[in-house]
Amino acid sequence: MTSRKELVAAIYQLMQTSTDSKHLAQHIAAHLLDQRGTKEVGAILRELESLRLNRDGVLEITATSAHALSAESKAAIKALFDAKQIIMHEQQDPSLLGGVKVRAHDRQVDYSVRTRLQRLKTGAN
Amino acid sequence: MATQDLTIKELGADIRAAIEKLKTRPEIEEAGIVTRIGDGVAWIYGLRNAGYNEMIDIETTEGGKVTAFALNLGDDEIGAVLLGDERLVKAGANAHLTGRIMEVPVGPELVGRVVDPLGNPLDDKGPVKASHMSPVERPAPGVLDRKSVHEPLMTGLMAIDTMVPIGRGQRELIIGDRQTGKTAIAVDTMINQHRQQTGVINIYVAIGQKLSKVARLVERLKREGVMDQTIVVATSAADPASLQYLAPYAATSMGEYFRDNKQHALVIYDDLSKHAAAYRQMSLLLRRPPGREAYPGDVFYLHSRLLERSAKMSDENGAGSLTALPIIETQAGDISAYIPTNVISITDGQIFMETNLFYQGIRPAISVGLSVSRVGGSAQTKAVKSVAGNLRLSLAQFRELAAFAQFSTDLDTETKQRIERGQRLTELLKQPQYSPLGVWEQTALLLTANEGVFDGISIEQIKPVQAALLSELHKQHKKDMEKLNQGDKPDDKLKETILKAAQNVVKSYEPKAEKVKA
Amino acid sequence: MSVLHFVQIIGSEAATGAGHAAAEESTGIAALGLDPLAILAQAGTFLLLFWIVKKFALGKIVQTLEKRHKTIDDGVRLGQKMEAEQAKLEEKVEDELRKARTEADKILAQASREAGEVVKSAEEKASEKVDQMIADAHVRIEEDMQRARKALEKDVLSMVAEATEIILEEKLDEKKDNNLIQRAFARLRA
Repeated sequence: MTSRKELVAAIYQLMQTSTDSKHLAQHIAAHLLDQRGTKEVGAILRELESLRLNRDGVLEITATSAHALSAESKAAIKALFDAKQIIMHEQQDPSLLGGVKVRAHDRQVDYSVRTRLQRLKTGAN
Repeated sequence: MATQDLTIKELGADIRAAIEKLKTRPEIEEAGIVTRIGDGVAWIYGLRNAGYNEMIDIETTEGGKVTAFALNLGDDEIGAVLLGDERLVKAGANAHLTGRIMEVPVGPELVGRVVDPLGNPLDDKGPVKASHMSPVERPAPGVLDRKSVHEPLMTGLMAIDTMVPIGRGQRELIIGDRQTGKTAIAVDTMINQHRQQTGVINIYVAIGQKLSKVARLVERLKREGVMDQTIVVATSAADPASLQYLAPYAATSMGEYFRDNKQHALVIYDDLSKHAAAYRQMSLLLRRPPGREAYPGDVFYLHSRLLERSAKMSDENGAGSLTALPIIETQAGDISAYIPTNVISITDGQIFMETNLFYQGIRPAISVGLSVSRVGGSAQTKAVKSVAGNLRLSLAQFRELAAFAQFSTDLDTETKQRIERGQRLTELLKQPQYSPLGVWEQTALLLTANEGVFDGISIEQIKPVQAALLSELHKQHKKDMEKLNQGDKPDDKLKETILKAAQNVVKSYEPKAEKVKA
Repeated sequence: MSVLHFVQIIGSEAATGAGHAAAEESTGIAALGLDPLAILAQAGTFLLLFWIVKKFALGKIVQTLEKRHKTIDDGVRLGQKMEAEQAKLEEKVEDELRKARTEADKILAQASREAGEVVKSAEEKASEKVDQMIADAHVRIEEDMQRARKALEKDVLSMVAEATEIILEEKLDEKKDNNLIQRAFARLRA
């Protein structure tokens, strides 16, 4: 039975060498099913993110906005973080009304209009 | 302009200020994600800078928040115990650190209120507007900040005040099986603080009790006029284990406010067995390794850090005190079980309640042999001390002989006398509920009993004679009794007065001798 | 032969002799009709009787009489003593009653004084309580006002937020939104 840390290290190694991500994903899924560790997927991915950041300086961020982000906006967002390489995943959620919510590993910046209006309503700081 | 006048201008200013606050620039904040939730525990990924017992706000889908506090700080996730409704929290919710540890409102504004461990009111008297907040967990005062216990805390129960005296700043455990009168002792002690106008603030903590019992108790306290100097911190069996776990700590913080402000407080934990069970539940759900009887390994520390906060402060620190009366429920009288032995070793003595004494009609059902006060005479009023010296010994001798007497009919005079005296003392020490006795009453009764004045009357007449004697002394020698109530040792003249009054009362109760025919 | 019988015999013989003597001497004492022998015999009988009575009965009779006398005397004395005791007791009872009445008066006066003090103290306490209640009521009113104010503020802010949501949905387009984001993040970097 491999520990999560060992598994994450192994996946990281494979990511360095593999070119076919679908094939890699199938392998990992099969292994997890075999080990009955499918519930660990979230934790594995988070640890993988952390490993990549520490070893390669690669940071993956998720930006959620109400409208599509312009290039300038993306640049402004990326400029917040200090990493060798920043990979941005974009999502759109019209319910945010405006602004953007950026999540990076264990940090977040929530500048969405919806959250700020929510704070106004609840009186929260 | 009167403060009660609400102007649109003021309201508008407040609203504008609230909006302005939102114009602040965005901040990068540490955020965690709830990975799973269940049984009152949220497991959170992230928040690497979380401190032990730090409060965490978890966002709900409606935009509100639920508070939790971090108890398990693991490598990759944090176990946080929820203080609110777990149904509002979903997996994937964001969690933020607050930078604060668990705090409760403290201060004189809480006196007379019934609250939960978070300071929320449970009576219908509106929100508690306390001026101070205090952390739930605080370090106990050090050795140099304390003074030895020397002031008495009178319970009003003769059996306790004479043989197992309690002092201010002491921890005295009340231990016994269910339905043996443990809570009754605590309630009578609270009532006595009011009757004797001692100024001691009572704090009663109900941990996992039936709410009907708490309601009855509050009603009784109101009827006796004690509620005006009492705080009730209540958690029921239906409350989450986290609240039951916090209750005694929150109550102790409330008591510490008075202790540190030159006042005296009495805190009653009813009961710590349920507290240990709630902590066991939380620890098992947090996946901490179980030890003996499935309790976690730090269950001793759970109670020791709680009870060490009850202390008598030195004069430099205000000379205040916090006295603790923890209650432990045993099963089948087994005081050698895990939790009872833990708490016995922490406290400064115990009052052991026996079931068979209770059913024999000896109430309070205190086992004189197994009960002890490690503070002893230093915490006893001089008046009571002067008459209580031989009581324990007399009762111990009586107990030895009573068993022997059942099997033997030929007893010598001395043995018979000891048995008679012991029976009378036992009868004298019985006391009805909600009827605490003052210093002068206890002193007068014991003095009379020691001098053998009651030896001539039957046991069934002890109580009527007691009532008659106290009534007589109160009517005829009120000033002397008020002086005796101050606590000083009675002088010979006063003793004589009491004995004379007793002899007069006893005369009318003595069995009449047959007239000799001329 | 009993003494009495002997005395009777002597007496009868003396009477017979006296009769003979009387027959012979009807002159002298006999002329008076008295028989000296009979007188002598009777005197002797009397003296004998007297001696017998004195020896056997007089002592006891005197003793009995004295005893009775003493008993009567004792009885009289006791009666007198009892009367004296009764008088003393009655006096004592009177005295005690007087004392009890005085004591009762004292107790009543004290009780009445104490009752007055209790009433006064109760009045003072009631007045204090009323003042306290009024002060508490003021505090409560102030608290209620603050709470009402906070609730009103919250409601107004909530309405503002909802109104803003509606406006922004219509008015905030992609270009304006991106401008907003860039301005905010520039401030953050600064």
